[in-house]
Amino acid sequence: MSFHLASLFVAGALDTLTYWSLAFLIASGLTVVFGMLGFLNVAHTSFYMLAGYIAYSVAERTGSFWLALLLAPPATVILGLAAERWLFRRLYAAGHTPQLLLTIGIAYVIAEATKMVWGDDALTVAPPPGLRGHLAILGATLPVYHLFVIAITLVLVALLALLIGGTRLGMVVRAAATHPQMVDALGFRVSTVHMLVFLVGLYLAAIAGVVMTPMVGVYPGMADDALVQAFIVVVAGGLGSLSGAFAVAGLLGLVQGFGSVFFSDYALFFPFIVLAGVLLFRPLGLFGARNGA
Amino acid sequence: MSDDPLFALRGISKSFGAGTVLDNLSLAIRSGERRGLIGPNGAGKTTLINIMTGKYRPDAGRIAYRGRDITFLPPHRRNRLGIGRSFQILSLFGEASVGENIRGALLRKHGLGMTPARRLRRLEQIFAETEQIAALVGLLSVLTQRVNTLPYGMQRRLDIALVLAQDPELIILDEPAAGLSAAETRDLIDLLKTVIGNRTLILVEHDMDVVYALADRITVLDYGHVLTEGTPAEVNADPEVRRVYLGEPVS
Amino acid sequence: MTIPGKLGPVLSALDAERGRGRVAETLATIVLLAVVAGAPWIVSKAALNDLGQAILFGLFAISFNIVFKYSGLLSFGHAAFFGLAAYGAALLLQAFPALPVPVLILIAASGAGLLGLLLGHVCVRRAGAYFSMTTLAIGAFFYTIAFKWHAVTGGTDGLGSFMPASLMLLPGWRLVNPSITQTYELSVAFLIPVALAAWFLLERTPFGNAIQLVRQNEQRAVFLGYDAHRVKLANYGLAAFIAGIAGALWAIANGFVSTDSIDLTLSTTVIIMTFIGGSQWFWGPLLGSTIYIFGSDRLSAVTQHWQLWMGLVFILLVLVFPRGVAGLPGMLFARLIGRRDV
Repeated sequence: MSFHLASLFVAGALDTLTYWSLAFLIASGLTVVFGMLGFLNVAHTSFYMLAGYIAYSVAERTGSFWLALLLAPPATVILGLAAERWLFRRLYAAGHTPQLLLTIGIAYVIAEATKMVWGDDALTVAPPPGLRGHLAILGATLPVYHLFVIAITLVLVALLALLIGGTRLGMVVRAAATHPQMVDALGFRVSTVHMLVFLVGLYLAAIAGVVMTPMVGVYPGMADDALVQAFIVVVAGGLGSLSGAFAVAGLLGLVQGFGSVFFSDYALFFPFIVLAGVLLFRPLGLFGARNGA
Repeated sequence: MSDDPLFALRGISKSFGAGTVLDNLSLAIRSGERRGLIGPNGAGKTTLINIMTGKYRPDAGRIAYRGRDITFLPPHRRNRLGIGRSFQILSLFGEASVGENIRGALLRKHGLGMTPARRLRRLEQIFAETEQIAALVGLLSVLTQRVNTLPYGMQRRLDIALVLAQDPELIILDEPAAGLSAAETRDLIDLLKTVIGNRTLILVEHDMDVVYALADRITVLDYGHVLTEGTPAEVNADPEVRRVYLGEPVS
Repeated sequence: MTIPGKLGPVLSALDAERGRGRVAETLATIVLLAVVAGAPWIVSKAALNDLGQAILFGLFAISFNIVFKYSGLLSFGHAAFFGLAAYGAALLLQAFPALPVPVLILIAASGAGLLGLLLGHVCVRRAGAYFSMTTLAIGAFFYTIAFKWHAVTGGTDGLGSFMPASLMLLPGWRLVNPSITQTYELSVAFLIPVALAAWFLLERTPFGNAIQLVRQNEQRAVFLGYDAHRVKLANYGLAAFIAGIAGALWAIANGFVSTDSIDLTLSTTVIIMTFIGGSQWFWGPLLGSTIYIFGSDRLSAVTQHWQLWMGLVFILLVLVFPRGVAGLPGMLFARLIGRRDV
């Protein structure tokens, strides 16, 4: 009996961490770009989807998932940066409505373009050979691939923390959020810093898109599904708060990981329950600033 | 008539982050009084107004109006009890006409604020009142003009008109002369003298001429507490006030 | 506009109606509604069916724009109200086929309106992006219910085979004149009175005046005694009610309800329709939905991926003509006389 409980616990913990990883990878870019630039990018998860599809094609052609993991994110980031450079940047000072409209339009176009190129069906690739197996821990069989997803997220988050906290560049980025004129004084262009923030956010989301491909597969509605989850993470975490996004992604992971064990029928509702629960006690989100919105 | 104040603040404190802006401040305004509130920059005047009108909640202390505790009433409820305010930074309906601005205040006062129908007879009365108010502040000739297109001095007068249109018992004016020329300020003083009548007034103002012309009692604030309170003559003679407010050394 | 002396023709229509623009707007409104009402004599039966859809979604888009234009809030989950009423109407009809159509629509729309008041209580306090994100989550929540609660909503299969026993709208006025399509007739019969009533309410009564004052300067409105939250909530409830009318009509007109009536795509489509037409004119969304429906019809005859082109056109519109098609005459006029801003 206790053995059974332990295995349930281990399986739930792994699901929690996996979900946490993916939710944070997707939502972190959205919330940081909103916090720093005041820009709400509805098309953010469309780039995540795009990365998944590109990864599918690369893996399909070359037979190598690793090559896909290497190539798809930069390809996606280049497309995203093009959109930033030529479209988004025009509207940084224009207020939320034009930004929302523009990015809704872009999401719409990307959704249709992916259908045009890859069709309406869900597509999936096999995990790379080394990650196909299962591990048995305390009676639970755990897919090695999930452990890999958690590991790659940990590495990326650690790198990110180092970059923000420990380098001169990170200092400039932090300064750009609150004191744009300081950045100029330090000899950096604010627009370059903004682009950099955009790049990192897109890269993390793109990684999430790629690692999804062998797990769930890619499908036309995945951008919308992820958008809802990402918005919930951002709103419940507090607009613009990276720590908030991290915490709420964890909370979502917990209810998803353990709730699904007992109430799998209602798993789709968990994110909404988390959102309502958080907003009930902290109307501005876990880490929401009073003058944030 | 009792001696109970019309409007009383007791032990009000307010901090933002680490900075204490108001520190255990008390103030009592009697009915019919015209009280000037002065103090150097950073004395907490703006915060005090925002607490009086309900934009901020105090961290500690109570606010009473006609003996009723209004500490937790939201701004619109305080307004409905008879507290009107003007704004230091003009806050008008800039895209609407002068008449529409005044009418907005009148509709609410007449209880038509959200009526989903046209009560024609009542509206006719409101249109007539709109003109009266506009005439009172000298804006009748620009009644149909868009507010954004008016010169600044006229917009200041409209600000006063919106307060008057509600016929409040207590008027709180936040720097009504801000940004006006000397001549405009004199006109404003004349206007206020005629329109305030026997209403109670709380006036926050930088321009001492305006304060001395209108207030019969003055409270001096400094670093979030009351430095002194008295008639204009008393305050003017107080060396401590001169030191703090006018920057003169104590002789 | 003159007020002095006599009671002016209007009670305040704040920024929307001023000076020269007002005559043009009134004319455009009359022309638009005349074309809509006179269409059976002008266009083909196929086009009439499209027009019926356009009017139906136009009413829905108008309800979306009531929240945007009059409260400055961009809802990203407006399909929740449309869908709730659509499912509500379908379920009511399955249970009580004899229910008269107007009663049915009233019940379904009231449900949507009540839901609007309930949800609005939470979300209209938030402005800007916060409102948009919260409404998206709410919309997704109701979609998930429709998707999961198979026993009631039929899940992805949807609900079908319901039909009002009588298409009597008013005593003596039966729906379905053989010469015109049912969608068109139903839509017109409801759009024109409902939208005109909403327009009157928002532009010509103290109620609308309060909503416009709060939109223009919430801080001042509050210090004139207006309860800004209640004012915005009332507007949101009104919009939800009208979205509900459109949703119930859609269910009756199609005889079928699926998650299409409540999903994120519909919430997005209504935004696109509204801004194609122009959000600053009350009837702009109707213009937009007409362009969208007819445009997609023509485009889909040419290419299977018409949404790609629709999206590109929309992006171009947002960047170049932010006021939509209805804003074009004003923009051209301003160019002509050399002013930058109308």
